[in-house]
Amino acid sequence: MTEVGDVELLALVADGDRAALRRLYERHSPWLVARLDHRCSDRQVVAEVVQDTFVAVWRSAKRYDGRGEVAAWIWGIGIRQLIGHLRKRHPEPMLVVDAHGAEVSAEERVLAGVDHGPLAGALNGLSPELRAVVQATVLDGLTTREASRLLGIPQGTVKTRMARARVELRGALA
Amino acid sequence: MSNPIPPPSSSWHAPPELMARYLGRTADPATIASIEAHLFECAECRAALAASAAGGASETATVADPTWAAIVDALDQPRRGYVERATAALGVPAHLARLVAATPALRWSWLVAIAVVSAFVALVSETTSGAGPEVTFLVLAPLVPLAGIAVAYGPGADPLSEIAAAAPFPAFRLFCLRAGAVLVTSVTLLALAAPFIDSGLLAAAWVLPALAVVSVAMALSTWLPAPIAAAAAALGWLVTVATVTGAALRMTSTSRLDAVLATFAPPGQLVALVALLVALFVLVRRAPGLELAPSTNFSEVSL
Repeated sequence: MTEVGDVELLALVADGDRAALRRLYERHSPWLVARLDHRCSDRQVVAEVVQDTFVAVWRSAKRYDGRGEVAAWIWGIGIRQLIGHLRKRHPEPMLVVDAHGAEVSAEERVLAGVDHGPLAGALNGLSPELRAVVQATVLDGLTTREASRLLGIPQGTVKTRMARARVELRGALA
Repeated sequence: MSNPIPPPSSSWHAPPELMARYLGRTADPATIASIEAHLFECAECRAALAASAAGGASETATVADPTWAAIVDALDQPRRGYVERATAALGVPAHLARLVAATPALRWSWLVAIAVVSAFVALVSETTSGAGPEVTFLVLAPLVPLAGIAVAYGPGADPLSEIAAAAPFPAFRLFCLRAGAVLVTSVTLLALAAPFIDSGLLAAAWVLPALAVVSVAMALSTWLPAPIAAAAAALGWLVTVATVTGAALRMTSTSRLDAVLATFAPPGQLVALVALLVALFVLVRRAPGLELAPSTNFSEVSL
């Protein structure tokens, strides 16, 4: 592709180029919406979070250090904006990923990159509460405190659930 | 593990069916996790997701995107500056904080005016010999808040004056509010500077005259444009000091400096208090529904 790269776009945004922000928005808002949808059931909140995220991207584009994917950097802003929003409204119990017992297809095994069959099974086998904690801390890279805000549960609970999830995962992978 | 981890530029991409399940929120947790991890790395899959999420809706849909409109809106909003935030943090309601801080041009004009006059006062005090410093400080200190008020508001200095005039907010209340902000800032600055000039009671002797001069200027501004009112009050103050000094010199054979200090003696303070009260009375009497006196309109220049 001969498109301008994300890093270049972000540099332009840092210089105050709105067209560049628009390009970034077009590229990155769809997956951001989809990903936030998996963590918050309220469409209105998701829209506001996306809005605030790109405003924050505009204002802090200078602080992108050039390392790591731009998408991951945007997600780091987005998930924290979501937490901020949830704190403002009384944190309702989050709707976190609801598995419908879909069969694990071959594509999905490949998708995980490594031979993740047993890991996928173990992850899917966790109770929704434990899985939510694993998702927030391991996959979204949040701190215990941030995870507790996101999930609307005390920090202590995040820790104990994480410990339990670890034991279960270890057991399933043994 | 025996399987090599595919490099980021791998040719693998999420099949459409899998993407559809992710978007439809029917994928299982492990799939969600892997798709999300893959999306960080793969621009092509992000584009595929975007196309699939748009559901065939074309460019026109994104142009009218309400979220993007809201983003542009937020970017166009002026950010609250730190003066405004600090004012608000002191318990001033947000809309009043904005009125006081208004625009940077406005705020800087009076902050700079205060700084310049303060520096001048300090400089003159420093370079005068003998008992000069405190005398100079005392005489010039009342002019500091006056300078701020003179250049702060009204047509000519205020790029917002047209809007302010049209706003459903009492013009006079606005003026008092802003003058109050100037006064608080400048008196604080002077109070900080005073101990360095003089150690005795004289350090506080300027407060009442300063307040009197400012309130007289404000009372005058109900008839005259603010800068002229401020200039008149300043002139009045200097003339008063000169007159009192002259009288003191003629009556007693004190040194010239002590004669100047006569203005700040208890009778002088009493006169200042009376002037303050009269000015406040005039202000209150003329306040309701009062519009500030118009002046030559060169407000277009100021922006």
